[in-house]
Amino acid sequence: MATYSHGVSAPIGRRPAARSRRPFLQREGVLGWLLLSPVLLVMLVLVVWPFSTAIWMSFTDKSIGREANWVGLANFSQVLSSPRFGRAIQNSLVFTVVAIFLKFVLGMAMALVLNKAFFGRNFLRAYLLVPWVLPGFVAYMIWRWFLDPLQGVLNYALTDIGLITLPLEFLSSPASAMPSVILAHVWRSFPFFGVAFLAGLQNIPAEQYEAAAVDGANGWQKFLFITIPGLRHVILVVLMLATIWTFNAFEPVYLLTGGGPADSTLVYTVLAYEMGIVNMRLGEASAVPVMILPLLGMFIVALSGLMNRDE
Amino acid sequence: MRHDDDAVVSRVARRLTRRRFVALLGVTAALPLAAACGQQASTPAPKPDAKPAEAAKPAATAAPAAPAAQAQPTVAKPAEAAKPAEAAKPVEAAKPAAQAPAAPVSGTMIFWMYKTRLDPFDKYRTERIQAWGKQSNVAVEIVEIGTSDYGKRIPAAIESKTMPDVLEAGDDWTQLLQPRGLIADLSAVYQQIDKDQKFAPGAKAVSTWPDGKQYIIPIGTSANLLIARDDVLKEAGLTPPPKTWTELFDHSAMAQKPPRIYGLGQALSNTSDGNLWVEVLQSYGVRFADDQGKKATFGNFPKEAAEVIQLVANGYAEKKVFPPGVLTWDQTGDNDAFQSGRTIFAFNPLSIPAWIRDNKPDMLPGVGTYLKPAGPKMHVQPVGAVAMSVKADSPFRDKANELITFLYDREYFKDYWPKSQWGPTTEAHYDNPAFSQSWLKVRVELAKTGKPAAWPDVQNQAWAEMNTAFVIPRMLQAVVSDNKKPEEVFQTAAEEIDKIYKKYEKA
Repeated sequence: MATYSHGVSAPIGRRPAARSRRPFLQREGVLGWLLLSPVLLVMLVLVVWPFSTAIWMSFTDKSIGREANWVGLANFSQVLSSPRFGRAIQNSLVFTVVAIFLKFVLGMAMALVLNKAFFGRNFLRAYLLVPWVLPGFVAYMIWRWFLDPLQGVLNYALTDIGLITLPLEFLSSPASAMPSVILAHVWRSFPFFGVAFLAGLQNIPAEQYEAAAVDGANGWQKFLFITIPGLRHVILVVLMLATIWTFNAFEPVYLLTGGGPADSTLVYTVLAYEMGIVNMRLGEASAVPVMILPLLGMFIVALSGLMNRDE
Repeated sequence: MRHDDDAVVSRVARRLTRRRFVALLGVTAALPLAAACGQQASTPAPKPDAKPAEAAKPAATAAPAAPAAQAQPTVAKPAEAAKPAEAAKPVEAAKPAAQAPAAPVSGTMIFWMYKTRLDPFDKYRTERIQAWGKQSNVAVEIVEIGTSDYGKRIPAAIESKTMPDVLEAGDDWTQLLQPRGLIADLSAVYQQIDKDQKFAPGAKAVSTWPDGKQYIIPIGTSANLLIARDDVLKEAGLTPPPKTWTELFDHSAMAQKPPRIYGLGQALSNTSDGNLWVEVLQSYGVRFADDQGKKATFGNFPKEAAEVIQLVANGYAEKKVFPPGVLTWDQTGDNDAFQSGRTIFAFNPLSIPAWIRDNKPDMLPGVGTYLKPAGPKMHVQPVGAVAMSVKADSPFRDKANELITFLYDREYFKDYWPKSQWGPTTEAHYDNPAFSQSWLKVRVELAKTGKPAAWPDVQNQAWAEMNTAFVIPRMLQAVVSDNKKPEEVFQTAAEEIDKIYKKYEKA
């Protein structure tokens, strides 16, 4: 007992002395921090600083070219009392949920089709990526011209074939403006889902499908019990990223409708832009995304939890 | 080999103590910050020996001045120049600078040029500025800024302290720049030009600040004017122009032939064009704020506002004079519609007929340009200007003044106006042959009779926010697209305007 105790306690007792004598760089922890420091520095300068500045600004009356004064929660109460804020949150949620659903369905269909071997598959893979590759500005301006009631291709075509006599106002009618914006956005973004799912599909072992076929599983059952579980991680990551991107989308709404008509497509990013850049009230504008932060935070935590549970 | 490596690591590690490691991190952190600070000064600061007025400004020596302040000797406390009374400070400080012998200034003068849709005109102006640079031995970098980019570029430049040395922009930007002490007093330059060429009443109205000083020098007057397809109107047996807003809607309805051609190509969207309806409301007797521009009064005019709302709602739903898409038109929507021959009326600066002259000359004789129609209470025809201002702390202030004077050359303006889309700024320009053509005569009329922006209300920050928040276009959108009741939308708009004015009441 005594020997055992001695054998164990001796190295423990020596540890502090050994650590203090070890050269600084040879300590694993120090080297680790040293290697991490560039990334931490970049994060500090490019993420933490602007982020904390925005939060601080939301408690001030900062406007362009003027000093900021602390105003407490005044900006938040100002924003909350505006009916436009409620409308913007509602529209942001509708835009995000519908667009994500459509992108998921189309992306999955694209991945399933492109995972099969057929003539021209490589061409089609590249072709379907075009909307994603196009700069957002170009893509949405194309849609704007396409849907324009006076000079747009779509209205010309529909009039020419006699389906309509007067042009349709896709972007300037409250009923069709939001669906039109969502359509344009989905068109541009679904290839990302498709490519990500395709990469995931190619990692599912073919033996699983063969075994399922031997057991008599049909296509739907294979999709439900092999494909979806096999893609689980990809789906979670893609959904998390895409939801954040879609919720924060600015270009589609700003370029297609500017938030109109009558705020029917106003999303929170456009509202913050109007307040901050157009009206130059940076403090008030910062309060808008700061209030959205908990919502997005909860969403990220929930999805991260799901991913961690699997691991 | 492994043993050798260990020895090297050990040697390095011995040299790198904790203190040195922390110091290394500190230096690494300081590098990007230093680089970022360096980037902020896009316009080069003058060298220590190039401070022309420092010695001539005794007050500056009394105050503990930071190095940056020393590099801006001609401006006294720009941030404090918020009130018009305080705006006198820059002028007082500027005098010694003007009297001091011109010191050599190194670096490049940044000139933000207002980009029009007329390339030959922009080229002509660019060449003139470059000619001055060559003659005066000053390197000038001309950056063309599109109309729609100003809203993003100027606020960003203010916050990053990278404002250009000379800025060409709409006169409305003075509202933002002057109270923040960001632009220099140009009264001396203004007086000099006025003595020689006499500024037109409209140009004088937009250039003169409430304190009686001038912080901008206009290079062209402009405004949204009524542009009409006279040929189409005459075909329908109508005599242009419509004298009142009601007549405008009637003429639109009578002459249009949808879907080929619509009557009124006027935005009802969230763009500055959509704010035309603010002027219509004023011409019907609505006042948005009291005489001081402090308290909102829009809510006191439900009857007058209802007339305008009804006029627009009827025009949209019954007479159907608006082309499809006006609810989400951007700034170019009315241009595109009129230029493609799809509308009879548009409200625009004369860039539309100028474009027609260059691209569809056959169409030009059928196009008329007029002052806006009147309302039952008054005629509201604001005039604006594209104008030059000089950065208050620019090391090129004196040179910039020279440049402005150089640009205000009578000979230069002889060729300037025929290429321009703007109207005259001085009485000396009235007789330019450019304004003798039928569609250009209205420019002289505008320069003579135009009222400052916001008139009869007061142009201030609250007014600006009411416009940039598009309260009035959104009010009209709610009626025509959401079918809301006029009283309801009026009440909402009144509350919103009230809230905006309250924010600025104490300022």
